[in-house]
Amino acid sequence: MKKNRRLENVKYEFKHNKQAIFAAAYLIIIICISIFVVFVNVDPDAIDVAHKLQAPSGAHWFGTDEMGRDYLIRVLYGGRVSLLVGVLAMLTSIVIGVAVGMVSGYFGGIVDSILMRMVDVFSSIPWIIMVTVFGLLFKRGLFSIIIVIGLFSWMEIARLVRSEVLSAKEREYVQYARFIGTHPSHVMIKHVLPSVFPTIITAATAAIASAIMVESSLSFLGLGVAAPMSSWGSLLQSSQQYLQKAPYMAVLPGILIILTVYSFNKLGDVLRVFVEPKITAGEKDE
Amino acid sequence: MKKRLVSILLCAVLAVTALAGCGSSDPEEEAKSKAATEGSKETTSGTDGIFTYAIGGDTGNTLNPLTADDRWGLMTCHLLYAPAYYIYPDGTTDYILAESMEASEDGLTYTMKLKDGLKWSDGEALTAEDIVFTYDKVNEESQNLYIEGQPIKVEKEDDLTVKFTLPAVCASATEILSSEVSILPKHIFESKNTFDINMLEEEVVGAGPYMLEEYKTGQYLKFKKNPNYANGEAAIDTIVYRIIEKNDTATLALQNGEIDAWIGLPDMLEPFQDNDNFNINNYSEGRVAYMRLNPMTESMKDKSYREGILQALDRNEIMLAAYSDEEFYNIGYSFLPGNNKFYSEDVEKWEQNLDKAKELTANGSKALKLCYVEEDAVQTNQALTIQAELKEIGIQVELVGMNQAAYMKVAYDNSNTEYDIFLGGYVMGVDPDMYSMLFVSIKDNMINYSSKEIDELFAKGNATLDENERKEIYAEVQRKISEEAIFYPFGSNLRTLVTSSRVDGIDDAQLVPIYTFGDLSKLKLK
Amino acid sequence: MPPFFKCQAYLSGIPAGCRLGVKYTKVNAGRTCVRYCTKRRKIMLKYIVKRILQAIPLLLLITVICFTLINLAPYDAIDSITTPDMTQAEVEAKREAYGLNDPVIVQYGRWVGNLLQGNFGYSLLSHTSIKYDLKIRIPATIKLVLPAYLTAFFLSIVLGLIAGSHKNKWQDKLIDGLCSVGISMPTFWFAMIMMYLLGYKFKIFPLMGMHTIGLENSFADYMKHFMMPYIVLTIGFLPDLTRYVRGSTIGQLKEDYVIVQQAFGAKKAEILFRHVSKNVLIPLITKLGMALPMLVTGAVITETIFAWPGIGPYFVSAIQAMDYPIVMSILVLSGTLIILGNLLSDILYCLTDPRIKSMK
Repeated sequence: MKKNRRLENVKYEFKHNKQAIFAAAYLIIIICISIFVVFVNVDPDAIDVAHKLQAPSGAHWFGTDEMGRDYLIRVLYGGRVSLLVGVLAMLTSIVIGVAVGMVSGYFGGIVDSILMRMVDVFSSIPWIIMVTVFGLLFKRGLFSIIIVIGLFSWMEIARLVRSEVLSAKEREYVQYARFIGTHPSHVMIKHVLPSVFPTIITAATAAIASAIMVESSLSFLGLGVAAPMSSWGSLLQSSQQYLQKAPYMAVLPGILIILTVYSFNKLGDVLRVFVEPKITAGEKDE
Repeated sequence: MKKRLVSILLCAVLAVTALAGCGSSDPEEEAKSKAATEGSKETTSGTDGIFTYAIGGDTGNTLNPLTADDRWGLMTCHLLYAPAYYIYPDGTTDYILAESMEASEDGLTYTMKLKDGLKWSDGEALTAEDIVFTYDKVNEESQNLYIEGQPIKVEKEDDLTVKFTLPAVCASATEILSSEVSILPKHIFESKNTFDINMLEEEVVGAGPYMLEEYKTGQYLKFKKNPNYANGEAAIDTIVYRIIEKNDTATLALQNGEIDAWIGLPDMLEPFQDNDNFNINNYSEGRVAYMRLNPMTESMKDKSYREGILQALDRNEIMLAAYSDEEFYNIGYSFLPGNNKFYSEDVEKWEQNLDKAKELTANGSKALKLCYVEEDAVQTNQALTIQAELKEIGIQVELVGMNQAAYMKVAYDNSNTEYDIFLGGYVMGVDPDMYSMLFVSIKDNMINYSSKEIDELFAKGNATLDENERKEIYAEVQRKISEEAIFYPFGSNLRTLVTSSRVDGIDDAQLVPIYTFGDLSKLKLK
Repeated sequence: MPPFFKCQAYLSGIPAGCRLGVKYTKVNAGRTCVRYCTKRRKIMLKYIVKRILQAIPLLLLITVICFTLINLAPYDAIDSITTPDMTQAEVEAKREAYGLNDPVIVQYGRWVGNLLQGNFGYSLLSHTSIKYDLKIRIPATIKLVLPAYLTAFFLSIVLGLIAGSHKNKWQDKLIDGLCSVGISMPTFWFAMIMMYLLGYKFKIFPLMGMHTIGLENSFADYMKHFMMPYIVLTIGFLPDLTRYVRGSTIGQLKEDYVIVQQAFGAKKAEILFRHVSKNVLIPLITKLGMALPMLVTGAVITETIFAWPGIGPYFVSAIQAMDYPIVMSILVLSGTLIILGNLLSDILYCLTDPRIKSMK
């Protein structure tokens, strides 16, 4: 049975691919920390100006930042923000991308042409420019960043979904459902969507990874989250000034970004095994 | 197949280099010669005879010597133009273009005598015509030289003498006539209908110690010495104001020797302390750092609400957050700097009282917007502290940082209703009447007051020469201003200039407000 | 007339779209077998023209979007032309003179006309012509991005081929691992670390800018300033390109013709460099076309960090100062370049790959 084989492949990958194990473990740890850090009794926004920029000590494991706030806690809270933005932006772009791709692939014809032209136009503008321009028009804050990043990464997903839908459309059960007159939305959601699902999952992990990168770049340019909220990118931005005095301030958020994005990408690679069994066929031949 | 590939690759490369080549023919780009340079071995700024000073922002392409009021524009004007005379913070006068400035017995007439043989940087003679021209234009432009609604009359007596007739007695006359007034060349400006100078295209003619050699937008301003400078040719051939917006780059550049001087932040001075290669100079600018509430916005119209906001703040915490160490600042409660002889602490101090603050702000807005200059790390820290302090009484403050030019546009627009709170700082000078520009509604009114009483008090204070009388009047002004609950000063800060050890003559040049160096012609390189 | 079946010998290697036929020529006493490929040439030309025509409405659409955004933005166009000194009457006069009271369509038409002439408008803050600024800044960016991209391009071919041909062995694991980490690394973080280590700790390179002042003519000095941003950019471009080449190589190595060559006893290196590389390079060349917009916007963050006077810092400070005319000009410029880049890569693909059957 096809499904079993795919699951088997995934299980095989997780057991034997060291990088996949590391990625999965790291993600579980960071997500748990992000959820449970709220229970730690330290306020990330509590300023203590008499004790600015202290070196790591017993009281502050990673020292304090330029306003006397505990740095480790700020980094962990920053993780919450970065992950939250990543996941929500991913959801936004998935919802839009899947909707557009589905409709475009299913109905074809003129609808398809128009939607694909729109995708082309939106893809035509370099993301950094569009994102910053729209950032200007919206008020700064978490909500607008999520919307802005989501609005500019749905195009790839739309294309992927569309090509999957085009091939799923030809399957017998779909054609049968259409034949007996099932409402299009019913066909799309109940029959086409499940077969497109694996592609969506893979695209989703890649989307989270890229959303985190985009958010950190935006925050670094000063266009991201508003103070006093911190995200990994904004922490990196403020750590530039203290590179000499406290280089660990730059190193810590940077390493966390690398590990998180790397893990999501690796997760995506592994899940791709689930999606395309043909690849594993080639790989296992060695 | 291979031939096709190669030819296509070649075409692509050619096309792109053509694109690049189109740009390279621009006269701004020098051809890259393979000539080796000796100077590249040292990590000093190019060759000897160049003093490089890092400035934190760009002047923009347009320089207007008549209306410049941002620090970088003023610093540039200070190099290119000269006032007739300059009054140092300790009261001594440096006569640059003028030989003397004397008051009559009744204090209503001042006579300025110019030095003989003065020349502009383009060789034209500098005479009383240019002085009269300059002051006439200043009076056309603004009311800063008006006393009781009448302008100071300027008349030429002969080529080297100018008479200033005051409509009424003015205690600060000598200071207002020289502060930030660049003497402008009549022969250049009388045919132009604007004082905007495009630094990229036009030649700047002035009487200052240096001339503008080159300006590269966003990168640097390069000056060469003016052989016609009234006080003698400068010791250093070339001065460069290098635009470095980020402090972390500047500090590394200073340590590497790429720049020679930098205004340092207290947090970043460690590499320079106890280091023989560098000198740290702390000096007072008489600069007052403040926060002001915008009475034009809906939330700030109610006076008791404003009082509540001010009661939530703690000056000590704000200044400590900004300057890290008490040796770099002094707490102040009035609009005058602490070292001013008219400074009075008999004012409404708005000491922190959180309960009262909560009470007074109970019915007002719970969301405010604060505007500040993002590039300034000090203001950023002050803003964050204010945000945290107001959070304690349940008010959310949205911090809106912008760059210097954008801030100036917004902050000086007295009808702006977008921002509730502004952070800022000013350096006005020695005489308390110089501060009238901040509060008097018919003058610049930078703090956006509109109180007839305060206008009248300032006018009175300037109309008498009796020091005791003035002391009383200005004490009352300081009290009244603080009671309005619009203006909240934090105090004054010291500025830290870090120079490399090759820079000499700082004592002769003197460290002054705004321009850093009083007379750059006296700076030397070892 | 030679029998048609004799010309069958020419059948192998005939691209699709060509016909085999017979023609009389003077060579060899009048008869020879030739290939008719005029049909293919016609198809190609039609395709190229069709793509160019398709690109034009896209370009117009980009300009419409940009124009809409400018007018939605909360700024008054008159601010970029007037100074605060002017009286209300003067401002009104300027408004009329610049046609800001005309209907939107007319303004749009005028704006597009201006763009085509190269007049991009004036900056809100410094009141200078944007065209002038761009003329200085774009070459500076190109001088940085072009060498970096080309280096990354060629390096990626080498690394990708090696990785792909040694799949799952240590070379591949190393290269692929490095690429995965490289993709996950934010450029600005890497730039910061580089600047700190090479610029400050070991003092090898100067920290910022394009020249030391006073040494603008020195090539050696320029190279010293150039090195760090160049390295950062190359490493930024490398992982993505290498992965692409690697994936492509792996895909190619599974194809039949490789097995055929192996059966013929060809050596691994020969297969790789004579046969596989061609098929890998062709789609890669089309990637070059897509890199066209990178010449303007490919290094925004790197330039900002190293204070390299290109488009990057110009754009970032325009955003921070809310200087809309500059932002919109760069928007139009890069949108246009992307469309042109897509067009270029499609055309290149069509020219280089003889196997294009359907013109979709």
